[in-house]
Amino acid sequence: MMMGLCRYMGLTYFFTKKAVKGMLTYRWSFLINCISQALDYSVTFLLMWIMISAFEDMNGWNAYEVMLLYAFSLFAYGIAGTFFFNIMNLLPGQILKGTFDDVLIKPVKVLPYLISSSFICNYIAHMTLSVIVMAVCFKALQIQVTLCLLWRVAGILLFGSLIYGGLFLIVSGSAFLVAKIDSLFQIMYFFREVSYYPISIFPRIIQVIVTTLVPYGFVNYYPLRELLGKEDSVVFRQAAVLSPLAAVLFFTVSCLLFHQSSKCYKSSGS
Amino acid sequence: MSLIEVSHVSKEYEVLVPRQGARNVLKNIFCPDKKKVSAVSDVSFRIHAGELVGFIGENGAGKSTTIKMMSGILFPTAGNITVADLCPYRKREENARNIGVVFGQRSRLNWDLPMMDSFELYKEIYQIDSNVFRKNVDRFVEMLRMQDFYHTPVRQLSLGQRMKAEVALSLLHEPPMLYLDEPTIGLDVMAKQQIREFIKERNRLEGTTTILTSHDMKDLDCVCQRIIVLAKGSIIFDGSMERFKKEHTKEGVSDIEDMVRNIYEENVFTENSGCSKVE
Repeated sequence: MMMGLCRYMGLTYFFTKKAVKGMLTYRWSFLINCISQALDYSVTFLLMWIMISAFEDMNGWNAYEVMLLYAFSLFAYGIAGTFFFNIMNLLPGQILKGTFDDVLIKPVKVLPYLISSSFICNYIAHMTLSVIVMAVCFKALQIQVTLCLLWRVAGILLFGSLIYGGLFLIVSGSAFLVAKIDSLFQIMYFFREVSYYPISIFPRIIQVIVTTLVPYGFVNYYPLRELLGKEDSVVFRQAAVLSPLAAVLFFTVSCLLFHQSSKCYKSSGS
Repeated sequence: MSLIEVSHVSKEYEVLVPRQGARNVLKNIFCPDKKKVSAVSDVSFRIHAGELVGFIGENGAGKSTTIKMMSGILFPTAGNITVADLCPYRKREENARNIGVVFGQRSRLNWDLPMMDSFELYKEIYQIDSNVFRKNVDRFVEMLRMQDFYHTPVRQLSLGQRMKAEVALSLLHEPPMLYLDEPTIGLDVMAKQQIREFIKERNRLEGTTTILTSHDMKDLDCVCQRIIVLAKGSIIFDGSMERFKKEHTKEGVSDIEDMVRNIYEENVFTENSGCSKVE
């Protein structure tokens, strides 16, 4: 187990080294990509802030608190994206063209290998932006940044990234069954938008969906409701305590689903 | 004891058959007609260590499917395969260490970097010892005459240069078995010749058991001692190159390419008379 972990961490390092070397041939494209992503999300932050400050509050959440929701979601998304986004991005093409064969003829476990080979650093931009916003919000909300708080934040982000990771895996894995996953991709991103706001403002059915099927609620809303001591909804009081468990469970199930789906690979070409 | 044992292996694919007409659109989505197409049916053969075997067959005859089952990529629908005492699709990872595979229609090299970088990556993936790695790289570069383009980004290489690098890549971990699926596709005479010589050389020096598919009969004539001819998913000939030539030399047919064409044409006849394997 430990040896396996070391091996794939080593592989990740090598793949990243080669990827960076390859990227240097297109270094402007990499820089522009980072800048455009950061701009994109900054504009969203700004719009959200304008909207909420005009409306005073949103079901008892003020502008800074809602921005915190967004920042937590974005950071967790960034961690998960670093490891899993490229799998979702590249795997459907590999399956359609049959180049997934090249993974299977190597003496490696499929999922760890895919993670090592698809690792990307572009999400540094997301994470930096989130940290800045978090710092600003904590200051504005007069929340003391103690060591204890930092540990809690780290925990929330870690378990949140497991939920995102699980979703990435489910969507990627379904490519083995249905080949094209663009629409699933869309659904995943649609519900992500929902999680940028306190989910208590949405109809009950959507609240249930983002707690069970696509459990974004556990990424930011439930843990932050507890952290900020919000009383906007009495639904599912214990959710904050259960988030780590929910995250680990969801991620494990996703891995198993991915593994099972990968057995349906039929190859193609040549 | 044979190194590769394929016994009574069949592989069927399910394909959807769309019904014509606008009325059938919903039907096609929710309960499509399926039919089974057999890619390989009841194929058996044994390959001993050190053999050089060529697969001949039309496009779609089942050559690639057989190689993919022996590599552990595909599960057979029926039958058993053993490669060096392992079942390739059940023990995929272990089996992968024993085999080197080249699919001529695809590239595994990193497009943006020189081939050396891809080699180094493979060193990590296959956990190749540094001394072994250095020794093999030096030898392969020399034998395949890759000195000139060794440091050039792969995207600037010619097809022939890339294919040489692919073949070298698949042998870096010194696998006892090498599967080459159309490695000479689209190459010029010189590159073909160098790759053939390289395969023979590896077989002579290291005893690498090699399975080669190609549509260029010269490849097979030059490299292989034994050939297996597949048609519509079944083996119709399995034996030495000499026997194949002897049996199929008729009046006016002395070229191996003509012999193979005759076999393909004969098989078209059996299909028309209702013996087709596709149901």
